[in-house]
Amino acid sequence: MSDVQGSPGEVRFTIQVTRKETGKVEEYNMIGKVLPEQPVEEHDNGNNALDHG
Amino acid sequence: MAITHSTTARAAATDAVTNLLGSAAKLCFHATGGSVAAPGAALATLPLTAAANGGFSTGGATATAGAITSDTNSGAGTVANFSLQTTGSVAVIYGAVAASGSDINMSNGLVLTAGDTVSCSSLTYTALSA
Repeated sequence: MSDVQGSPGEVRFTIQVTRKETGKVEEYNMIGKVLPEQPVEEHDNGNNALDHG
Repeated sequence: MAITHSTTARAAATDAVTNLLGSAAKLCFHATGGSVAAPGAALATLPLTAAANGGFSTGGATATAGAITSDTNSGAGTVANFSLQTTGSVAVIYGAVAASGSDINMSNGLVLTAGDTVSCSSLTYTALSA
């Protein structure tokens, strides 16, 4: 298999956390990298973890 | 060689994803252990502007969210993942969170204690890089 990969999606956000105990405000510049979906392992009986009922 | 998408294609991809968020989306922060199919309980939940495409701008490769409501009573835990969900709590986007700049000390992670207020002043989403 080729190891060439596409660019993942990206979410950027700036969040502020105001601490309940002190009232201090902390600011964080953050980046969210979209994770690839994990492959679903198939059981011996043909079912997988996403099967219901 | 790497694939390059046109600006129009990148905008279309971003709009298609944000369209799935519907008109009452929310930004959630989670501890470890979830997935896009089952993101798990949120440490903090911040409603986005109630508008189509999750309140995000449209027509650009990068979409910008409108005003976001704070969560004034967070749960306790270390933030490891985030999700953008529909009003029905279906995760459309799910991923890992990290500091975007080395100038921020995140060595201990973003730890929330119960009752903290979490606000978001800026949120953008890009489906495809150039």
